[in-house]
Amino acid sequence: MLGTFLSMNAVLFYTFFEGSLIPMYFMIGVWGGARRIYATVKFFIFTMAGSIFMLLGIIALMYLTTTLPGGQMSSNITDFYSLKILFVANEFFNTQTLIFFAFALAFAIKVPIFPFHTWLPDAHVEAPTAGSVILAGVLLKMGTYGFLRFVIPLFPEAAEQWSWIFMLVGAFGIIYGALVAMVQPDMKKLVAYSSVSHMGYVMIGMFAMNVYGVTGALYQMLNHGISTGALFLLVGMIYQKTHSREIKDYGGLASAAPLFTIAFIIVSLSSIAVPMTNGFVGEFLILLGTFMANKTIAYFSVVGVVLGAVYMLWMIKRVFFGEEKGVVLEHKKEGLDLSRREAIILIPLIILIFWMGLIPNQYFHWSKASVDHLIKNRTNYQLIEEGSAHAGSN
Amino acid sequence: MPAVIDFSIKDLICASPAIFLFLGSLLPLSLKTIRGNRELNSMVSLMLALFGIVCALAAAGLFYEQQKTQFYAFSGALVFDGVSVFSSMAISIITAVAAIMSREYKAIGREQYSEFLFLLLNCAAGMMILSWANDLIITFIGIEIMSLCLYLIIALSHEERLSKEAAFKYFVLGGFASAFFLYGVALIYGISGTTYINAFMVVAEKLMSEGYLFIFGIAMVAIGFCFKIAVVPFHAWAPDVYEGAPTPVTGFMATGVKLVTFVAFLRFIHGQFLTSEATLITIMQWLAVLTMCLGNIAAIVQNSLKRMLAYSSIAHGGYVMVGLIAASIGGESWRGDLSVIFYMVAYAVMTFGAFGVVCLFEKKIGDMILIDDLKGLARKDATTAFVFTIFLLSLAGIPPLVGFFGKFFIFSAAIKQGLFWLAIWAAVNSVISAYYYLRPIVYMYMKEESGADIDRTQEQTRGIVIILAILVVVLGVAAEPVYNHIKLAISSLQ
Repeated sequence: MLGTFLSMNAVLFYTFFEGSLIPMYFMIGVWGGARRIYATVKFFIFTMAGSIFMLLGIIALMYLTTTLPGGQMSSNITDFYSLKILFVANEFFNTQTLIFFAFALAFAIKVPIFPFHTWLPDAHVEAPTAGSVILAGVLLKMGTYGFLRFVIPLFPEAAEQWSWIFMLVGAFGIIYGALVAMVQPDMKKLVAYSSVSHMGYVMIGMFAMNVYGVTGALYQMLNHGISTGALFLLVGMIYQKTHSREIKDYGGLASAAPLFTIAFIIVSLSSIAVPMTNGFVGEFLILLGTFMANKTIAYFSVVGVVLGAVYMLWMIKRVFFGEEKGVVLEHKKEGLDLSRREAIILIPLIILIFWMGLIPNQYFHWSKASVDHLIKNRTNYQLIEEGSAHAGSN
Repeated sequence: MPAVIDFSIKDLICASPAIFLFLGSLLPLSLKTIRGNRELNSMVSLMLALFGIVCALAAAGLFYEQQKTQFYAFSGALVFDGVSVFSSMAISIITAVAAIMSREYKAIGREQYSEFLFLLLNCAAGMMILSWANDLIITFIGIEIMSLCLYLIIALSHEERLSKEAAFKYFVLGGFASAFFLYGVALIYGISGTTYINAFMVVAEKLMSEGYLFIFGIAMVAIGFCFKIAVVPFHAWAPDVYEGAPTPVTGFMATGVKLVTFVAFLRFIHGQFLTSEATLITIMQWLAVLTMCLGNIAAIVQNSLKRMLAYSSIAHGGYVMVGLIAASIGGESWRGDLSVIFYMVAYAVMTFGAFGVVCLFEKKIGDMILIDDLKGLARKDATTAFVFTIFLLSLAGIPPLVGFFGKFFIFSAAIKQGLFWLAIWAAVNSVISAYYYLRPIVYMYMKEESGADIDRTQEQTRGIVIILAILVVVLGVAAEPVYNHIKLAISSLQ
């Protein structure tokens, strides 16, 4: 997976992109829950269906590089950046739009954005805790990274023209994910759908295509990895002790497991984007950027923020407060609170949540160069030869 | 055409791989006859046969350096270039693998092993001739030597009903194919006055514009080839024959026969004379699409592992057809040629490996291996399960295994020639195929119940299968050197 983020050669990128499927496939399939086979095959087929079209897109781009000075065929991404791909506005069948959609489909499934999201809850629910964390923290980011690295810089005009689709689908995903999360009886599934909702924010932020939106999207990618990853860890920890993830089995967990409750609530607040936590910074920037780009979309997305608070807090109310009942009573004697090992895992995450929430400037400083580069490309309609490869180190 | 028969020693040297194979095939059989029709120790027979194969491989390897130039031997009937050298070496290796695997195979490895080796090596000699042929008559002779040996090999096995039925089916339909082929050759000869591929290629474009008879002849010859590589709708024999034949022979047929037939088809078609004939190209495109779709969709519903692999083999034939079509359209066509050869090498390694794993499961004569039998294999025999997983993932085209690069070059060739819809069809099909390739993996790793055990006595087969799995990975990671070797070989094909 690391290779995916590092490679500057498109074929190598594809190799890592696909290759990361196999360990994930086995992780879900071998150590997963009851419906693991269904989930893992669905996951595999969905992602492969997307990426095979990206492969065609990559090949097409490789042939286009023969038109560059030198005439050599190349799969180097920096060469891709220097391409000027034929674009015809308001038409679907032209080179740039077609390749754009070939790439976008692959990453949209990976992210996943709304119509392609159905593999995600299945995979998350059936995956073991470690698998869920990797899924949420790394695998989904491969999709959003792909959008930032390939789709927007390679196809600026097409991305500009078709951004409304992605904004719309992203906003729809936010609300849809939140509404579905609200009615989930299973905690893990709830977190999984909240993931869909969060990735919707990342999408609209990216396709707002201004400094605020893109910075926020980048920031939200980090946040999502931390807070959703932590939520999956927490749900996994409690599941290990009680063997139940059904919300209705719980009640009054707060008195039985005070430390666990504190940790869970902090992470949830970050996921809801309460000020002082990292989530707030990301979502605020995204919404600001979106508002500047498209007001209607921003209105709808704000509804998602409220809904996010509703489903998280409602779950917290049902699980942690009220009468002690169900599995909480059964397992109370064994001790439900965090063990030292679990606490050590969580503390760095919680520190990060506040650190990134209170002092975001350091992170913005790091991401500024890349984002500026991306935006400049877009506003000038000019593709710069170096690519944004080493922008991160500036 | 040269009317004088000029014949030099160099011709014989060039043809030496086939001659060595023929001599090697005689050794075990004649020793058996001398001993009063008593079977030799099977290991001795195998060693004698392998000696012949290694000689052939070495003889082919000697020409490796000279492969950039074309050399016409036997009055232009055979052509020796990079592709000839390459396919001779590939055939030798495939034959050796088949010979070693079948020694441990119950249905053929016992009483009639020396006869089997005789037929197998002669079949390989026929394949070599087929891959060298420049004269369509020689192509036909190559096909017939190859096929006649195969009919016998399939029927030779002790598996009672299935193998006889398979042999007969293959024989009858193979006869049809030969008839089509000869009819086509006759038409081509009637119109152009020659059966030499390089000779009628030059005038082909003019002849095609003059009348339909020549095109008809070309189409007939193409149908003959399509039968042998099981392109839909000429595929009906393939699943039954692949299932009925002894498994090592199935592997040999699925890899060797397809490889040489594609080479011969490539020689026939690469002259780009089809560029002007858009209808023929369109028909071939649809055949390729049908082949891929039918092969993949039929493979989904199979329960027998061997039959599933048979259908998958048909589907892979469809992918190669895509490359072949790319090669037959003008432009810088070596990319299409190259993708075909690369894919066939990749396909040979992974398919033979997969059939080898099926071999490992067959404990007694006539065993039928279902996908259910794979259940829980990972717990009982982790190595075999892992190896089989590698083959299946490679067949599905997952990077960085060799199957992925095969598909990559095929897609590249198709896109390069502007065959976008064909490339999209191929892409859709590789997604469909992922489904049934994943199913055995699911059974091996993710099912609790336990199925059949593997046969521990087949140690050499197991060793070979493991070597093939390593090759799948190595060829995948080192795709570029392989690519360059094939590029060198292809460069002599004009």
